[in-house]
Amino acid sequence: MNSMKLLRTEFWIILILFFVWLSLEMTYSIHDDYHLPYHSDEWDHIAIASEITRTDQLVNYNPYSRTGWDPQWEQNYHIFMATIMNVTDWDVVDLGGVYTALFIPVLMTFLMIFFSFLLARYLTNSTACGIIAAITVLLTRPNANILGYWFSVPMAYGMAFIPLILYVFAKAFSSKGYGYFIVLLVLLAQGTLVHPASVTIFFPAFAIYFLLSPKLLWQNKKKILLIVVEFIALISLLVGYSVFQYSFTGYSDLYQTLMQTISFTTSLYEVQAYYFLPRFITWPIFLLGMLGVASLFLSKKKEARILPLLALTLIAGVYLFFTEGRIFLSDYRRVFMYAAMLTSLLSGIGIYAIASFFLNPLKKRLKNYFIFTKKFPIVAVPQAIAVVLIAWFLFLQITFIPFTHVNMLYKVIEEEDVPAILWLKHNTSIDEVVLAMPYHSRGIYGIAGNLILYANMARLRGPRGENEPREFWAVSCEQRAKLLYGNPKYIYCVGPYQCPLDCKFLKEVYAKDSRYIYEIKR
Amino acid sequence: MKLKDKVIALAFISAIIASIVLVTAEVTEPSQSFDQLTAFWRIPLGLYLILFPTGFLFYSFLFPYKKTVIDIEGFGLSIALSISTISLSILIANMLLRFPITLEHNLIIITALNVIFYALFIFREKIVPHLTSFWVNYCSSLKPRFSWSKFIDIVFFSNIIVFLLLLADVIVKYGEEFDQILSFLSIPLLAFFILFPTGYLIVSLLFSRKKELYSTKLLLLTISLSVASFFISLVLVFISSFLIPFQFSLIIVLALLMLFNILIYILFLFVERIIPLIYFVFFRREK
Repeated sequence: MNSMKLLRTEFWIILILFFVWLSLEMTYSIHDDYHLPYHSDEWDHIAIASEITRTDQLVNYNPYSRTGWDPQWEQNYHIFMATIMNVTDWDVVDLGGVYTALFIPVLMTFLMIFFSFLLARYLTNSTACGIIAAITVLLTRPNANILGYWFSVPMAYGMAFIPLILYVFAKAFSSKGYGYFIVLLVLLAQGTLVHPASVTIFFPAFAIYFLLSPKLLWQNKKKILLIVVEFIALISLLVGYSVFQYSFTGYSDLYQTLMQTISFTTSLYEVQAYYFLPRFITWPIFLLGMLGVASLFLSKKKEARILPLLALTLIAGVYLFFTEGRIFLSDYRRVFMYAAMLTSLLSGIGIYAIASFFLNPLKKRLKNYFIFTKKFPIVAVPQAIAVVLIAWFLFLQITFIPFTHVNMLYKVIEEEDVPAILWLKHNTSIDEVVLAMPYHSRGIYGIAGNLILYANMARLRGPRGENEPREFWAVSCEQRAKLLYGNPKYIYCVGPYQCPLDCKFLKEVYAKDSRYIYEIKR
Repeated sequence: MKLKDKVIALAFISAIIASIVLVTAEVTEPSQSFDQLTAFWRIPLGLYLILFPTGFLFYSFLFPYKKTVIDIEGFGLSIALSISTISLSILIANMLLRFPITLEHNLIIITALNVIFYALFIFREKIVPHLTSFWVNYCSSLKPRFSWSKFIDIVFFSNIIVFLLLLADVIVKYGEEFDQILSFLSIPLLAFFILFPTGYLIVSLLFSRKKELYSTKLLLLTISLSVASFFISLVLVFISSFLIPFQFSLIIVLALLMLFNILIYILFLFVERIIPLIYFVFFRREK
């Protein structure tokens, strides 16, 4: 009995280590030849978290200019980042924010795999199914346009916690105690404050789930009432803070403002690519996902419906966006990515459904054969072949599909920029303004903390127009002196097209690896 | 001590030690050898502190009936709860108490959370079973209560809320926010205040030992006593306004009535709850 227990413990440890390896492999393989965060949004989150650690207070302004108002819908994500930066003190090696932004994706990927395993295992009562689903959930294709688990962004947090919220939801409303329910309340509160879009997507699925089981609705009326109260309080707080800044004056424009807040039209995101889900996650995975939907709907376990319901409501949301040009509760990119993630997870359940349909009868025969003859069971050969085929299929998918868009990744700064930016960190004050091109500016703020002037539009944007620096480098030295808007103290540029600069009003203070820093003489 | 209790105690102690090491590393000078030693260990130690013990202690408090020390689900929920509770607590502490977001302050919050969750776990695991058995014995020792008084707490606290709303109606000026809502509500609230709570409290106190009574009779008695109390208060305030010069107003009458209700409620608590409990603790249990 004890040895069986020990075997079980060892199995779980090996499984967790496998998940850790998988998440490291899937997340860090894109950083093999580039050791910095890729996406502009990641650098913006580094900027906000760094600003929190610098000022020791919550930040509700644009850190690049340290002025103005910026609605912080993702406040708790920055608190989480700032807490990691505080306790680890990675900053002693100069790149605290960068290392935090490289650590969070691997943590979130691990949690996404792990929570998907828990969810699939609970809904199907099968550890094997859990493992397959934990692998297939990685088949969503992260990319620079709709983000994903590669990046240190609140959406990755949402992707990690969606399976857990579903798991805890299913358990909270099928058990009598309040343990899971309290966990659900905590997770929903945290999720809303980290990434509201990752929680609002649950509304339709939860509503349909209870409508399909009116008995459950009546049995859990107190719990449901508490969740509704929590949501209303959180959404009121968020909307009150971010939209009205707590200066609510009347009801006249309330409806209009609320509709603007919860509905997302095409005009906001005209640059978005219209992804077709089966092509995005590949047709085999989509069809397997639909098989997973069917198998969970047909399952004896009633709470298993919640997963396919959420996936289907999200797919319906994407369809609504394509046909009507409008989507509610969360914007198209997030809804699409979550739909892709859940379909991939469901494809694991689909694979398991096929495997158990063919292999279960065989398993019974095998058991009987082995008991009676005590010989090597020849009938186990097809079963072994099936397991190898599934493993090979998963291996092929996982080594190819998730990395399809890896070539579309862009770099905010090159690794050669880091020594030059560190020079700024060690030799200048953070209140001194650095003039650089929009992309380099982000890296300068993220690593050195200097004020910057230009940043291309992402989560944040720079305090001045993006075209100004292009104009600055296009004209002669005499004209350049007149284009020094925003009172910069230093100029950062990269050769050979922008630098070296031979102007009288500039003093070269750094020059290495085609990176130049000039001090402006006043 | 069971293995589970030992592991939970270990998680608590390790979290406290990690917090002490981190805060010591933060306050010591960079050149000191201690700081150099912890510089490397700070990363795993810090990550452990924010990713595991707080959630594990919370999980242990929420699910005390689980027999295994930690299962695969407990491991996952511990990480999720750690991240969530720490971030939420830092946000709340900063927004409400203006607590700075520094390492020292974050460690105070994390340590406070760990102490609270561990204390709650100990309370639920060690004290609640004793309290439950005590309460069951105590309840079974009590004589059947008079059913009319079972809503006394709800009536008393709703009475307080109604009084505060009526007070708000007086304070809020004409044209301000909520003025219309309060004006609309004031008449039914006033009717409830005059017709029900005082009588209910008096009846509950006077007839709490009776087993049976006709409810219609009791309802009439309740309303009569309430109205009578209101008129007595009205007369008292009216006479007082002549003796001590102040401007007579309805809200003073209601305040006097509210004071009277509070006194009756305290008397009820004393007679019906505190005395039997003391008697049970000191006399009945010894027998």
